[in-house]
Amino acid sequence: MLKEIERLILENGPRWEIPFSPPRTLYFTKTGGSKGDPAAQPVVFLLFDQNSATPRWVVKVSRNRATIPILTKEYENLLYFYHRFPSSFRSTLPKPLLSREDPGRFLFVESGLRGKRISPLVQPDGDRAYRRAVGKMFEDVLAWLGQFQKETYKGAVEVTEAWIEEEVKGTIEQYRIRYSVDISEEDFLNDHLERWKEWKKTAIPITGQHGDFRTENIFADGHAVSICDWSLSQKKGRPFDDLFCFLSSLSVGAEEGNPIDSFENLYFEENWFRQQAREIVARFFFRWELSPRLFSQLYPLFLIKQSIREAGGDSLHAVGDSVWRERLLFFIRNRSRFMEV
Amino acid sequence: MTYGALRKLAARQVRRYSGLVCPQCFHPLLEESNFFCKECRTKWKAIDGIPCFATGDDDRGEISEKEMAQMNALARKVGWRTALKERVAKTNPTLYEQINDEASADFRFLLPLLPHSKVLDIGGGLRTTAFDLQPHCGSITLVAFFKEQAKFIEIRREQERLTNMEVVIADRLPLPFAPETFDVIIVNGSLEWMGQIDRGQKPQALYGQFLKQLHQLLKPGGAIYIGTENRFGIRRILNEGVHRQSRYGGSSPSSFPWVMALFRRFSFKRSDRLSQGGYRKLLEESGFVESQFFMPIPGYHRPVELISLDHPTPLQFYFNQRSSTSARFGKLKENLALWGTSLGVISFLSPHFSMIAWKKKNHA
Repeated sequence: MLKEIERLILENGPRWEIPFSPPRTLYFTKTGGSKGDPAAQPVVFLLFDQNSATPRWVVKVSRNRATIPILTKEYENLLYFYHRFPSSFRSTLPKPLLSREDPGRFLFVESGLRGKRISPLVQPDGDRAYRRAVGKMFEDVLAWLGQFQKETYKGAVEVTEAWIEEEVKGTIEQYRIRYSVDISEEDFLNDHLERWKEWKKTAIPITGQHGDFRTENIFADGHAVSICDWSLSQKKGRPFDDLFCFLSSLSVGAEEGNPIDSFENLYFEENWFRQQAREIVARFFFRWELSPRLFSQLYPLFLIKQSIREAGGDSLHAVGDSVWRERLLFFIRNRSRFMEV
Repeated sequence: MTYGALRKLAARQVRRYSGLVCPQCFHPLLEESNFFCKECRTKWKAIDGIPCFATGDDDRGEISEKEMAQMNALARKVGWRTALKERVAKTNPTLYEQINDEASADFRFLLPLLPHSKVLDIGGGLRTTAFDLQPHCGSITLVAFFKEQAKFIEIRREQERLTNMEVVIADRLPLPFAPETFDVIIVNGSLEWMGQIDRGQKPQALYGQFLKQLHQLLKPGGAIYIGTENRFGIRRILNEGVHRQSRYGGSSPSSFPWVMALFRRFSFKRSDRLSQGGYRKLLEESGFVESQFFMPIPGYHRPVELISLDHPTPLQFYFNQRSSTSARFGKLKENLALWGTSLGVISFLSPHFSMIAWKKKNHA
């Protein structure tokens, strides 16, 4: 496959870059998604040439028939978003260059992104300079998210009885089917459903959604932020989910990777980053002319949705893991301490 | 048609694929003559229908031949999957995971596999590699070194009704195939055992003979894939995850790994693994025109990530993207890794290598 990719690049390079400087040699890195279940993921090749510090091209290849729809959808969405954005914003996502469908296989080529993956680590005891640096980085990321959502805004949907029935009750029902729910969970779910009635007539915005807006997929080159992996993106979705996904992907004071500790530090413990997160969320809701109090309704709904997201179909990434349910259960047990915005 | 008849038909169809030759005189063998060489008059036996060219009676597989025989008997009754679960899952969970791990064949994405490609997998053992490769190529021939292991593979092949696979029991040297038979040859995790086949010879000389033989078996433009350990691999130096049964590897007392590592480092005659430069040189000497080296992560048994070692950039990028520690010691380690990458130290200490080498194309 290496030779085939090399040929593909050399044949099509002059169409993608003018003037095209052909690579003297291509150096490959093959990655296979998550280490836990690589067999369920498409294969990604990062292509370096002799001069580049970051991949010049990225080639994604289906592993088997099951991964073809994922890649096809990713390529389609990438094309959609790329061409929808103004030219100044296009450089923040990979440029879709070419797709090829052979019997039993699909591959596409996109341009590589500049920069370094942002660190998910946040130290709650960091000094002032550290806080400023982290704050600035988050500002950049959220500015990107704001711009992305502005460009893909599709209107709003009002919270009605029917909306609650479909979006909240339906989700809760699925959750009940999937997990055996104990009394405290049941009480919480009923209470949560009931509280949505307060929010009737609220306009929930509909925008494009990246769907996997984790620190792993965010690259920063100075202040320039760019986003990779559009495999879970959607043309229409709730803007909050990307923000919640981003916040959940941070390791707040939990370097060894205990996501529940991080979750606790972020939303339940008093520290400077919690203050910062509170401000971020408040500003985010104000931008959409919504009360920040809605966060306490939307966030648990997000957790429930993530918990029932099955490992299959469009959710082959780590989003369907059991950590989401653990977070939800932690939230239910400790909701009196949960961050208020 | 009965199941038995279908099995026989499938077995007969399989025989079409590889050009079997007598490993003594390299005269073509015909199945009709029951693997009898008309040239040198040697009669090669078939064990349960599997051609056997192995001269020794080796018993150094992952599972002993006795246990394998018991597992095979069970596999015939209850199916290979259940037998494997019953016999291996509890006693050797790591091996069980490896056997069932689809990611073990992930190197296939580097290879020029086409629907008509003929592939030779040497010493894949019980692992599922060949079974995962077979849907992506025309036919695959598995060389097993151990008889009961070969029987198990054959049972699995029959039960999965795969007609584009065949199993041959043979030694590494010489292999019973005609020149220019295969498009791709895979030697994943069996090269480092070469030193065992003839203790009278230096392992490097045996490697050379083996690779020259593989070069002959490849069609022009074909590729060989090798997954093996690095002589200077960091894990080897620290005496971690080294094959205990190999000729020299892992034989050191664990309390003196550094001493033994240094000893191995400087005793060129005794090493049964090579460095990146050593393998590259050997491949060149064996006639391969181009070779590409990768660091398989977590290892060649499971090459989920394969990072080019031919230039420092891919490895630097890899470490750059991974760095996510705030601890001082962690940062120091990361910086050392990045610094070591640009100096080529990390690539030098790569625990394992995955390499692809190409045979020159014929130009009309």
